[in-house]
Amino acid sequence: MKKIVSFLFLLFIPNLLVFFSSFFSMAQEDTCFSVSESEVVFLLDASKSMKSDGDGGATDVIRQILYSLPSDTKAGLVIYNADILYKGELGSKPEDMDYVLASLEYAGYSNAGLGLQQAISLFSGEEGTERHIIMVSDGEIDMKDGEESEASKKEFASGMKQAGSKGIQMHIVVVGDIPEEDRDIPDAAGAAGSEIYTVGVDGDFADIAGNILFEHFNFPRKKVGTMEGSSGNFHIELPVSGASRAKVLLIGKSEIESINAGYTAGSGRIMKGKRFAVVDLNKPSDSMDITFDLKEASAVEAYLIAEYEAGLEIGISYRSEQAQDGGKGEDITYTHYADMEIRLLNRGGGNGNLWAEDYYEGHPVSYTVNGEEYQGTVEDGAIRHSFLADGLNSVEVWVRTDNFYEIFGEVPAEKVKIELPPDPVTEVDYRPLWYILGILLFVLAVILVIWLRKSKAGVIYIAHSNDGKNTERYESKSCQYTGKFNLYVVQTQSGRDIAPQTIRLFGRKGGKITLEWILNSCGIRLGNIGAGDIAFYPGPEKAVVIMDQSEQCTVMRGMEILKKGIGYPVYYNEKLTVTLEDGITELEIHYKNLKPGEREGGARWETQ
Amino acid sequence: MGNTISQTNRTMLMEMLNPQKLDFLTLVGDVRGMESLSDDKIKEINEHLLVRSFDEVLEKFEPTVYCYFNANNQKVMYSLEKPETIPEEMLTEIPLNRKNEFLNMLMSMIDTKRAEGVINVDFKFEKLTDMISPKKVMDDIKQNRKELQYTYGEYAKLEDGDPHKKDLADKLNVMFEEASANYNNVMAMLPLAIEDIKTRLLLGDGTEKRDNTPLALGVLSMGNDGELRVLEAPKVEVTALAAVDDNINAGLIAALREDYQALNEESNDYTEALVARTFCPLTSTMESGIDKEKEVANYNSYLAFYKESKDEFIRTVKPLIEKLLGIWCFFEQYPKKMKGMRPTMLITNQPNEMMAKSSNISRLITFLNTVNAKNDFSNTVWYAIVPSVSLDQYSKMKLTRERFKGNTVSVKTDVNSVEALARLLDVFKDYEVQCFFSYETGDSTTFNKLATEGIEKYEDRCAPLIGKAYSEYAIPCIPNFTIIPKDKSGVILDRRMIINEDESVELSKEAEDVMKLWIDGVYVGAAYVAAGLVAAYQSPDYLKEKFGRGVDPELPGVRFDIEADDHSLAVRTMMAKEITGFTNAIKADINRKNFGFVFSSENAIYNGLNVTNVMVYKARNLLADGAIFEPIYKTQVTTYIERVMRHGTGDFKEDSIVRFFSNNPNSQKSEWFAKREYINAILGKGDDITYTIDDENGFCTLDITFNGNVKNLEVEINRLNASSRV
Repeated sequence: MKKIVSFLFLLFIPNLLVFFSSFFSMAQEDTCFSVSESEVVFLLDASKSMKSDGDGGATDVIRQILYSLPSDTKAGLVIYNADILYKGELGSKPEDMDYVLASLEYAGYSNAGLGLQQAISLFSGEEGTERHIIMVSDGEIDMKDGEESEASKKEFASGMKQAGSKGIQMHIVVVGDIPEEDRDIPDAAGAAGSEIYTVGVDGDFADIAGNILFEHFNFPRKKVGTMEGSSGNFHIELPVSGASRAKVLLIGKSEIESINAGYTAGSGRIMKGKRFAVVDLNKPSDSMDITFDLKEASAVEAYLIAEYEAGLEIGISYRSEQAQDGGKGEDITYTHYADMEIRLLNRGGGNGNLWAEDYYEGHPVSYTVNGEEYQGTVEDGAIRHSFLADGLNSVEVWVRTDNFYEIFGEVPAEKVKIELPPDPVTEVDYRPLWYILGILLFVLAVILVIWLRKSKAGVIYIAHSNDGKNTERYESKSCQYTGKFNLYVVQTQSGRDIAPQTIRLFGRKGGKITLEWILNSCGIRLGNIGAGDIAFYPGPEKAVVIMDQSEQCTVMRGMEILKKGIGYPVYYNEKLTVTLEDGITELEIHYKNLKPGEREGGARWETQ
Repeated sequence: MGNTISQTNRTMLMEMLNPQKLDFLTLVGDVRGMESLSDDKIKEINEHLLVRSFDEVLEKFEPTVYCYFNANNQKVMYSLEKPETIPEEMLTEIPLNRKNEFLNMLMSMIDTKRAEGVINVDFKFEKLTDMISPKKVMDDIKQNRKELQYTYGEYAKLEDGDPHKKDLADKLNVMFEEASANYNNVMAMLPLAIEDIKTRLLLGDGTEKRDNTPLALGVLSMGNDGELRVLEAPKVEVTALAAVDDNINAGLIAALREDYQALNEESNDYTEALVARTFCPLTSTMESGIDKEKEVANYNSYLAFYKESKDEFIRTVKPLIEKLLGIWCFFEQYPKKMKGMRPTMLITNQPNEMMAKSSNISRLITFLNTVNAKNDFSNTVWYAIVPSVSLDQYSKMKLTRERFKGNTVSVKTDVNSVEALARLLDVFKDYEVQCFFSYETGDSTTFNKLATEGIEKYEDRCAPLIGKAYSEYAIPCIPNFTIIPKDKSGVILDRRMIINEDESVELSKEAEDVMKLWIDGVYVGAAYVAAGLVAAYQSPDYLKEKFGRGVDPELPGVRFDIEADDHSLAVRTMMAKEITGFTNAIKADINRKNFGFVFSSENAIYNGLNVTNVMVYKARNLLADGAIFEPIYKTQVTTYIERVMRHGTGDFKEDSIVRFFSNNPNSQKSEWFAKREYINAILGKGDDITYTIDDENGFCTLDITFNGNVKNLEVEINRLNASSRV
């Protein structure tokens, strides 16, 4: 007994493990789904010979596939017999097509060629779209007369080739036993390389529909459980909340009698066939419960098709690494890197990070950065990728979502601008430079002071007698001027009358001043006629010393003509008469004392 | 030390009188290298430019107007400058002397107004303006003619060889000389010719007669029935002279004709006859030969020409006349017969624009350096007069003359610019010359305007001169004096003559036929009168005459404050009142501002007598401490003290200064203090003088206190020894 129990337990545990492991470890499997947009046209033979499909299995195939397909698949329907009975354009509502299928009566001949042509005509020309025709027929092409039949056969064969050239995948579901002589459609499909499923050989209708769905359409879906028995209950939890749509496909080995679903969603419906049921929820909550009853005890498989509106979010941070040491004379250079975090956001669910769930932790992801393919793993809700940012203005990131059980759709690539931050400014220690500059300035100041002193303390020879022969060496020190000059321009070249000027010398520090400077200070412009060569210095006993160093000017102190290069003291109330080099311009300079009350304000000049 | 300074009133007039005469700049000459002029040069300058009376002005400067005729426009032209391109023989010189009726008339106007003591609004100007009418000229000649006739009569009676006849001959020569001044040019003959025609055609002075009945001479007789009748006298052609005394007239006439022919190469019969009739009228016994129409035409033509020429003459000569009047008024302030410190005037005879040029101003400096910077004060200039300053306070010096014809807008070319004044003031300040200046004459600078507008206008115009180093030496004098107001300066010459329906000649009664000329107002600059009065009261004799006792006979009137007490009542101008007076508001404004040298025309009584002269209301210069302008006497006293001190201390020797101000009774300060009670004390009651010597800088500062207000004087001292020099 113990052995039996152990055996049964050992038998059960693997199943249990299989059951649970299938729930948790699917993420680790190396899966690859098709995430392209698809177009599918159902082509149903509604001729009389299809009456043998009395239990409605043919329409069930169509319905099972139709209701299981994801949102991005557009479906159309063509029903034919000798003519086209119904033509539903791509994108027609499944309910409308379902209604037509439910009210279908099989009758008439079978013009498969016409039907195929019509089916082919429904497809759009968009690139990148998978196209399928799922044909359900008994395999016969039969018209009223043989010619029409032949024509239809030829047309069918031509249609098959055409479908092949357009990349339309043909899936032929053949119902009933087909006599050898009537195997027109399978023969043509086989010649075109199409898949042919024979009911009863390749499984029953539900199996074939499941095969077509999972092998050819291969959209992301997840088997969430298998239950055996005559009834059961599936508690299904969505891996990530915020799905825009969730479908649960139940495929039973025996007829499903009833099905009930407990869910919270925006809207929901249940479509049931003989051996399938689809619970279709819009904006579902995180879980649902489905209970079912079977006509006969058998196994039921449940598949979850969860759809999300997803978009990428790219976050970039930058870092700089010193590339080269700034040696002597060389600048420091930096290499810039960008650290990228790629997240998948739920655009239809509050932009939450879909990968933030533990469910995706460790999930491998293929992605491209500027066209180059990389492999990454979701860690802490994001895929992290670093790259060299120098020379790049932007990066384009695209993520492959075909290895996820969930339908994210074709997530568009995301372009991000590269904006490198400024390089760090290395703080240079300028203190040595300041010290050097300070020393230089000090030295310059010292030199300037020495030079000024030397220039002020010029050595001049002062004449003390009228003949200018007895001269005394005199060093003009930095002493102040006293008194004032009254300047009268007696005659000018142009004859212009210039107002008398007063130049206060009192308070002005010693040093040479020229007649030209005095004239310029008074705004008198006489040109370059020798005024710059007549200089004044402060002299002893409040005198001012005049020295004529010009070539052609004539300077008189009173009636005495002054010799060149010798200084002559001029005392208060004495008069100088200067005739400049042009021989016409004449000035009189009266040297006057200033009373103490007049001395306020220092050196200045006045126009009278 | 009392006689150190013998005069404190020499005044320099910065004006041009006669460009033909020597002027200041020419006399001073080139001063290149010279700091002062020689004594000979000063003497020469005084000889030509220094005057002591108005007559001396006329004698030295001989102001003249030049007259010539333009045949193209048939007009007579006048000029104050001798036209250089016109030959001498084509030019007539009209001397502006006391014999000039225009100048004569104006001076009489001033005298008469003063004598009558009547204000302008009540004075009958037309009584005197009539003096320049032809009638008045003729009246003067009639007087001369009478004297000539009498003298000649006496001469004719005497026998040849009689010594008394020679005396009379000398007298006659003088008379003929005076008479010939009138008949040696046509212009002078015009008024004579006008009156002569009136006399011959209107038989009288042309006064309006009610009865225009043509005159036929008759004899009063009694008819047979005793009725009185005037019978027309028979016209008897008499070729011989009727009376014995007509022989005298005949001789005089012959002498006049002969003299006229001798003086005029191109003589004509008409003029010759005119001269004879004018200076020796003959009872007309010849009625035939008078062409009435021709004479009337001549008369009207003479009158029109006379009016035009008089117009032009007055227009040309008025600026010069005003200067002459100004000078006359200057000298009039000092009594003619008084001796003592008579004011003297040095006339530059130079336009100020020329004087103030940089090239020339050094000559003025050199001159002032000679006369004002020495210890000889006999030629020191204390005052200056700059009249006719432009009312445009920003006026600049103009060196080109521009004449604008037209009556509505005329640019005065005879005004002195403020810039020129400023330059002169800047020189004057260095030599302590106080400058009286007044604004251009016209009806905007009269007593009337001052009484209605106040002195704000003058304050504004003086603003550029305030706050300068020379402000102390600038004395604005307001208002100008009116000799003839503009609205009363019309002179009626005469009326046009017409021949009426009865073929008789009469003077037109139409208004448009009245020949009237407008003098356009004659004024005298206030600066002349102000300087004249201030110069006058510098004289102790003058002050003694005014105040009687209490005047020191030696001290000049430098400290005399004309604003104090009743001084302005005692020391009055010789100009007559012009208006009733200023309102209290205007006077309060003047008192508040204490601005300028202001004359007043007020009712006043002094010593029981009505004062009918213009008096001085304020006597201030432009030195201000922010609120008050300083009285001019302070500057005069300070200058006087400095000069006396320089002289007395041997150019400010330190030890002499100490002695000068010591309490020794013989010190100058003590002597001044001893005379404090006198009106002309140098330091009066309430005044004081102290000094401090700054050895380090070599200056001595005098603090002169005038009734509690201190004025400083700084002088550079002569050090005690060389070691104390820097």
